[in-house]
Amino acid sequence: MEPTSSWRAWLTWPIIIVVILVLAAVYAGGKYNSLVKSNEAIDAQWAQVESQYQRRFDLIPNLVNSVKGIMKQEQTVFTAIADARTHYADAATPDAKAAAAGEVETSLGRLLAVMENYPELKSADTVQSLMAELAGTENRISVERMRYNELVRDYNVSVKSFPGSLLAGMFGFNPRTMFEAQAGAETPPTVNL
Amino acid sequence: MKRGLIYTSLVVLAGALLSAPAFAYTSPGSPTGYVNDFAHVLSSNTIESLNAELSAFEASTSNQIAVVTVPNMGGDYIENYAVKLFAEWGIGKKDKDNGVLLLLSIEERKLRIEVGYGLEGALPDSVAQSIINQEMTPLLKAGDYDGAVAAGVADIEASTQGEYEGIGSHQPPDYEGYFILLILVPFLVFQWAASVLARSKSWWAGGIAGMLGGLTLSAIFSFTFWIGVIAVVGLSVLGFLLDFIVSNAYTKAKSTSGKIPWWAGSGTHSGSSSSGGGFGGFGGGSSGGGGASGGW
Repeated sequence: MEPTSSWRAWLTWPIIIVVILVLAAVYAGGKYNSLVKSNEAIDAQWAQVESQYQRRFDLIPNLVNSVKGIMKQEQTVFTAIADARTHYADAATPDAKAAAAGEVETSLGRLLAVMENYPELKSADTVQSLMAELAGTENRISVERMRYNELVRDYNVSVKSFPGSLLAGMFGFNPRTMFEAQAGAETPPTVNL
Repeated sequence: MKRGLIYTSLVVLAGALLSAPAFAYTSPGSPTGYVNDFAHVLSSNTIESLNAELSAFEASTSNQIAVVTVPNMGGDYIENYAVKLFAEWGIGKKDKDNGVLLLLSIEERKLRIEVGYGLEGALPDSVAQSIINQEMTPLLKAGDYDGAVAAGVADIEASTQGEYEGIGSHQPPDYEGYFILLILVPFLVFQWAASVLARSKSWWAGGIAGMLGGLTLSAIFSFTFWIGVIAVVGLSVLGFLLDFIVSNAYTKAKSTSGKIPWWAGSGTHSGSSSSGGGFGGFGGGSSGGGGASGGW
């Protein structure tokens, strides 16, 4: 009997196990890295959403100032906008910011609806271009939010689906929340044209 | 018209409130030039002269302006349609995002100027809005699509021409690029092999190549018999599987005229040949919903 052949027989199973372990480690490492990457991408996309919120936030005072003179009786609308802005400025967490942004949206929608009653506003150039900037900003917000939701959806699928879910749980990657429509905001403000 | 502006804002705002509903965007097709008249409303003279003009404009400023007409959007909003089409085609250069999309949907009588991230400063929403309202809408109301599109393109060019330099003839050497190349070489060799195997008629030659590789390795490293057998059989199976998969993918991609996946050897061209003044494809730019919409 040659000693080498028994050596080989003895080594077969350990080698197979080592190979499987190495493959599992490679898979786990790849999974971990891809989760880190998509987590970072979601954070970056959230920053995009926030910068568009900020853009709207900065536009509002300009719009309010340019219409305040004519819309003197609409103090409640302006107060609601001012309150919503304050809440947004005070919001610290992403969830609180999203909620406050919803409030800004609702009050802004009310202002736009009320502006329909003031035809003289629509002919003013400053109001015109501010409205165009505002419409563009609202559209930017919805685009960046849509992309945020898409990223979160992909991430959640890879966190929740097997076998990645085991590793995601082990590494501490939890599903993240998508943007939901604000409660009560499902119905857009009505305009009588 | 002014009333329409506020109304548009409200509609967009409502869209923002209903966080990302699932719109149905269907692609109108691939771009064939700067001007893509899917709705067949422009004269061939206009298409030709605009294509030449936009090609010259890209050569001098590197900005890419795309003009698209579609018969309808299948129930989609123009804001959503424009941003999806912009992303699909990648209008503008990838590192500058300097593209503009002028989109007209004929049946809905809607139009939009969608501005890439990199041109939002040069072409703000209010300017885009006034191009639509003051220059284009009156002509569109009169049914003059050629005139409206030409006027719109001229205005977009006028406001975006100072933003970027044209393409220089020499670019500084990129040392980081060489380093990346070093890592990429094995990958490229793999892709080259995949591409050869995919294009070859056979779907089994990879197995033979794997077997020969196994034999060569056995000879070089003087493997014992069983390790040699394992190497030969293992590499044959791997080579065969690789050939089989890439050949299938390649044939399938060819028959559906889709894109050949990179791992089946699509080659690594990015469509940046901009000499001679022809349309060299768009460059992967992106937009984020900037611009303005209108109707007629």
